[in-house]
Amino acid sequence: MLKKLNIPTLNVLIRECKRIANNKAYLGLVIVLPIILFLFLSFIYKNGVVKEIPVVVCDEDHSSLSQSYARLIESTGSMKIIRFVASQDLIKDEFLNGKVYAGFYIPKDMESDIKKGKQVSITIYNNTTNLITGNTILKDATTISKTFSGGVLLKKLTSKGIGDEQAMNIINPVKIDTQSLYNPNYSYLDYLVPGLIPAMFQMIIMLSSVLIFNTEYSENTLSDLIKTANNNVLPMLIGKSIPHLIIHLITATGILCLLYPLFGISSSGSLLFSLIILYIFVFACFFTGLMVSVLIKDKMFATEIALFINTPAFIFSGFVYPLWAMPEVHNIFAMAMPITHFMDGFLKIYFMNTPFLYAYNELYRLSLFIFIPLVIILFVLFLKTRNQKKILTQN
Amino acid sequence: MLNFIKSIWKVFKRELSLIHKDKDIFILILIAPLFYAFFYNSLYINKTETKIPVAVVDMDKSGFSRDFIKKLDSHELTSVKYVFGEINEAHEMLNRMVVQGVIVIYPESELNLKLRKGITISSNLNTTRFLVSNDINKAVNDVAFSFGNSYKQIYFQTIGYNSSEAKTLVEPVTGDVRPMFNLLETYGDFLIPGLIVLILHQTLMFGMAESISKEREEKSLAGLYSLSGNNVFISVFGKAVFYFVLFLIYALFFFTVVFSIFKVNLYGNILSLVVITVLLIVSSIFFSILISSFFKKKVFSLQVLTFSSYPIFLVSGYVFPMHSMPKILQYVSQGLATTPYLNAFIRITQMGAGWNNILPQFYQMIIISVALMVLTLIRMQWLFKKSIS
Repeated sequence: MLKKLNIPTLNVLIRECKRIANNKAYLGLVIVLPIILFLFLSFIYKNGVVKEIPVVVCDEDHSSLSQSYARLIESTGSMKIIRFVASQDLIKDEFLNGKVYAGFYIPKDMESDIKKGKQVSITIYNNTTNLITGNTILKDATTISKTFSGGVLLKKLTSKGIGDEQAMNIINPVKIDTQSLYNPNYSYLDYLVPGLIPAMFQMIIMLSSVLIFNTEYSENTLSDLIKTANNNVLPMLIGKSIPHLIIHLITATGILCLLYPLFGISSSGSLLFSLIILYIFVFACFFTGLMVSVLIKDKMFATEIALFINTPAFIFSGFVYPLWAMPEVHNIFAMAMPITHFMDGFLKIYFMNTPFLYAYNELYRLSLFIFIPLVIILFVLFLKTRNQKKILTQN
Repeated sequence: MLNFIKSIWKVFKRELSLIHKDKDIFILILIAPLFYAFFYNSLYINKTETKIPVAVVDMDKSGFSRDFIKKLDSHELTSVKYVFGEINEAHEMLNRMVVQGVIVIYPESELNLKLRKGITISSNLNTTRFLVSNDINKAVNDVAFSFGNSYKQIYFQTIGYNSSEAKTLVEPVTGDVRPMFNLLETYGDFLIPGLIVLILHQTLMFGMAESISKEREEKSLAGLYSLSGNNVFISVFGKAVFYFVLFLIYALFFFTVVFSIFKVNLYGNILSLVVITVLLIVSSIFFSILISSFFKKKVFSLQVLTFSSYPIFLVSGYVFPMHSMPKILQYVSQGLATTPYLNAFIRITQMGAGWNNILPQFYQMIIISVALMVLTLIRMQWLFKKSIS
């Protein structure tokens, strides 16, 4: 009945819906895959923080003080002593066997040296081949040592009749009060998942959209499409885009309204504004992919171009490794991807709860990924429609 | 035996011709690995970030605060971009991501230090990016400790200790944290070895999968089976042998030339590295044949393998430690060849591990490879039978 209305846009839209319904691979890519992939990625980081990193201790002192130090290690929660070893060499063996990430060496006569007023050094061997565990160990091992040293000094000062408060001021004259804003628990779930999922989402949108128009070429259905659109490029573009955009916008809504709350990814910003920037990101990815689709006839080659842009998207986006630390050429490549601009804007709105306009620059750049491809798509479609008309006239 | 080799040779030649004619596979296996190896890794050519922009709110405006700002600015990790008199302007900069941290020095800090009252400096970090916030934290603490220690030393000297005694009293127990293996604690040294493996694994899977899907797309499986004398073993091995040799050459090239260009360490036993790499290539070939055998179009198998490579890498424990993942994922991950490989690879190349240290991973990779080989041969046998019927 709808088709009887003979509105070109509506006719193209109905035609596209039928094509989508008959394309199981496409449905798998844009509906099934995001559900499985996004749940899986979130599940990897479900526990959030790095806890109980296995460490070993070589205690050559065997004193009550060295035992107190060992207790301090366990009290951090980030580290867990899996065994005590007899010598420093065994710490290295444990590293090579891949069992531990750090080894604490407490030297012989530590307690007696401290009592004699000699400075004692506890060596902490930190396996920094993994910087995530390495940074956690560095932070907590430094804190433990400072606390332990402070405790020794406090005892010394109070034994000389200095009051507790004054002694504490002497021990720690310049205190640092660290305020970890927006992710106070240093949760990897809150940190990595909101970066990984948009990167994968960009890949899904682009890999699916690069096939939208060139499938018409490869299946020789372009003339049918032009006819359905009544030789008009705008209905062709709108009618073909709407069904795909609806699917992606539903996925985007699911990410923010279902997935993030399900895994407890905390937000302090406006859900509405977060959705708006995510929707703009969807449009940016979609039209960039669509542009490739109208420009490149070969489906496989178009997919390879999408792969080339998208496989490094996460690492080039500046989300993990900052843009200012990258060489210039990589910066240019990073700027050519919607994800780079989206991430800054999204972090501001979703996590930092800044006013929407603070993301003005990012929104402006994302909009370029919509409007420039749109102009190119319309121009190419116009040329193709004209050529098709010529062919039909000649025939 | 001679017939067997001749048959393998025939299938091998057929595969070469297929690659020669198919520009997609050609790009994926001959251009992409080399391009990605240089393009991805050169991202970390600077190895680490320096001079992260921060703002300081100086409410004290004293000699101490100026010295603190100067030291923070000269620290290799931080650059003081702005000094404000009050906090709102600084937070504005933080919210706009112009700076990544705001350090607040409160009024009368210098006076309180002179009165031995102790002071607090507030360090407000944007922790939406961990690497950046960790580095600012390191820099601020370094500067604060150096100030704190010099104030403590002066105090102990004023109450009668000599310089050396005072130095000892400043910190009676020191924690000497020594970075092992990645001595400069750089992001480049952490990620480049893993990325090299990811590129090798990913491009091999893409190429092999494309080849199998192409056979299905062009309905040429029957021809392949017939050429091999109706032998599934010869069909699969004849197809795979080129990829095996090519990617083994890539691996050796990466471990020598690429490692050397990007200054990545290779401390351990080369033979053990080559052996486990052979197992990774073999298991990846079978894995990609198995997965791609379920797709009738090249483009779909490429899509599926694209989306599998990130999760396979992330679940391997290379970045986020395995013991912090949910238990079920830990078990799933152990069934993937990249998990034991990356575990052994990083210890061989970066830590100097030898055979004895990686034996459990070696056996694990053998089991995975054999299991994948059996499953692949069963699946392909079924497909070949179906294609001739």
